[in-house]
Amino acid sequence: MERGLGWFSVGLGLAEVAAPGLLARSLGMENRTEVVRLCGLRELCTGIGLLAQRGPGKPAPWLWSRVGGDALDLTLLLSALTPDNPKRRNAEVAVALVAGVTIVDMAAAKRASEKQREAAGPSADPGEIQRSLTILRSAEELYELWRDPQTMRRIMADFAEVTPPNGDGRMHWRLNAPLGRRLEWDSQVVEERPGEMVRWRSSDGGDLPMEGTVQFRTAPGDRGTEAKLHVHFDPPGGAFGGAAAKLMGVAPDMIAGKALRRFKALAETGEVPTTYPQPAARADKDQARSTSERR
Amino acid sequence: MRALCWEGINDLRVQTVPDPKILNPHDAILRVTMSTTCGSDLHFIDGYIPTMRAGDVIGHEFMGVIEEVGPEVRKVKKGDRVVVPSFIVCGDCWYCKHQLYSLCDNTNPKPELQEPLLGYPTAGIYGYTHAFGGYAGAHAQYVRVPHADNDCFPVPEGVPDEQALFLSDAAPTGYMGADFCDIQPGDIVAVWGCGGVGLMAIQSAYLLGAERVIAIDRWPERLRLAEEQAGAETINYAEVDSVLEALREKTGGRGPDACIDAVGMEAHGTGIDYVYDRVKQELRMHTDRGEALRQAILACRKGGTLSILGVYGVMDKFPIGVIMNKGMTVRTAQQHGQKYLPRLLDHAAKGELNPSYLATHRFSLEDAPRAYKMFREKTDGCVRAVFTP
Repeated sequence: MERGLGWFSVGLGLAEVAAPGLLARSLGMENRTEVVRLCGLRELCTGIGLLAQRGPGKPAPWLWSRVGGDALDLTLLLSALTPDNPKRRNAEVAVALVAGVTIVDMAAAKRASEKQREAAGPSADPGEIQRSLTILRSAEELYELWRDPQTMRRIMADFAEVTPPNGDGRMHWRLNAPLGRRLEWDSQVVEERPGEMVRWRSSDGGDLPMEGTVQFRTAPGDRGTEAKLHVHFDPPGGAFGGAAAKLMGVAPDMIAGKALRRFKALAETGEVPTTYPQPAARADKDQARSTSERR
Repeated sequence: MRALCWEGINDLRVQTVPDPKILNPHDAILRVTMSTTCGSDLHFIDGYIPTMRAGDVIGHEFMGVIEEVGPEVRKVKKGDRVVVPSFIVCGDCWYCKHQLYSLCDNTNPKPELQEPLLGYPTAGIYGYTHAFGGYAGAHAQYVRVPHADNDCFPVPEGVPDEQALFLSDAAPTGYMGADFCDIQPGDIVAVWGCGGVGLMAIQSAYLLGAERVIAIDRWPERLRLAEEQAGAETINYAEVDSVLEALREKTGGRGPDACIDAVGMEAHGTGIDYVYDRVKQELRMHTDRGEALRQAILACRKGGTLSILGVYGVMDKFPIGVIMNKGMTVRTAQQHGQKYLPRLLDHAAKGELNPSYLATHRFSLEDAPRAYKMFREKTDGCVRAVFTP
């Protein structure tokens, strides 16, 4: 269907570009020849765009563009339905045809948009993230490091303040969100297999429900261990995870990616790389105190 | 302390900035005794490489004396005179263990700035944009050196500062370029660019056993250095009709066995290709001028090696078909300095490699903006401007 519409656009476009005068005269719009030619260019572009796109839902924007083009065409044709147009009958037929095509276009565009959303998969929902990194340590060492009380605080430092677990094993998270808001919640480990995986979940009543899993699997050759981090945010009000990003002021997949990189650096080197604060000729929070101490 | 800062495109100023501090347990603080300009600085100074911020301290080729060490530093101590490669490496990741130091996984605190372009983060660099970590540079009185045990190389007694300084960047880069050529007895190596890196590549090629080295440039002072200091035969590309023909004739019709590009994205040239590149660069439609690289690809013998040291972004009209049809080997990287420094220090101590002639001009740090202008325009035969803070 999409390809059919694509070829239709190309065909119509070619006709409008090649013989605009003939078309215009047949509709009683002789003074609009140039407009017809321009419509032809637009049709050609849309047609080529439609034919060039592969993949589920990819043609969607081009199909919507066809709908837009149909609207323009209808407006143009309706202006030819004046009583003094000798070719009025032809124009009426053209209006009916374009109206019909518009309905087909809209149905096709809607379907393509749905396919696009489905095809994007879980990563299209920004509340759900998965990242993997290979770390040059054994799975047992990584598991021990992940369960170390200081680790979560250190690797999440860019994103939230995490207080190491107290007696009952619960960690407290505090995130400074946009507009002066503060999000807080508790989490605890709900499942673990030493050397293999850890799963944690936020406790009820927190500001930002979340759940995460980290899995460790030996990498091939001398490469160490593949660590896979999976995090899910479930903001109140639900719906798309885009709400999570809005609430927190930062994209969840950025957080997961950064946290995993920091975990890798911690595991391999014992420290997390940083350039905060350091010397610069700027008055911003990246700077150390602005007195020269060592002169 | 005083430091040279980037304040905008082609706008360098010496400012007073806070002193660096120990932030991580493997850090050291270095009092900089000498630092130098490098050709690759020009690419971000004039805006071709993005992610600089106004106020950034620049400078990535330097040496100094250790003033302070963090609690986990074991191999170096306060008072040591050391030279430091431009790339910051952890020594513990897979890439460092395989001596691919400029690909270190763990020294870029801003991987999200590199991932969109490169797919993966690479090692941090001193004073070279936030995409490469945003570390404060070394055209300053003090600099923070992370992972000091890996990255500080003590300089032997008897090797003066001017000799050791260029082991921070120019020498290891040039040496790596020659190493990439896998030089066999009888090989002829051609080097494009007689700046700091090119001159070091020429000398390194001889150290690694090249039969002859042919250097290509247009600046008479640089060609003279290539000849007199580095021992190369030279071609002035502005004076010959065809560099390709000249190289072919000098190699018995075979072409050079290996070609080293030490020019990079701001190549000069003559002819229509250069004009094309220049226009597209001005329009920011692509970042590179590829004249030198294309010549190197065409000139190289069949089955030869192309060793790319020049820094590039993206370019048009890259003759990948020539590389394929001639069955060439391409080797390229940012310098893996930590791999080569021990042997370079050894060569220096034995008097076999003395790059001090690169320091054609000396300035105090306060005159650095003027120095960079002179360096860029190559006035007065300037090859490298060296700063003493």
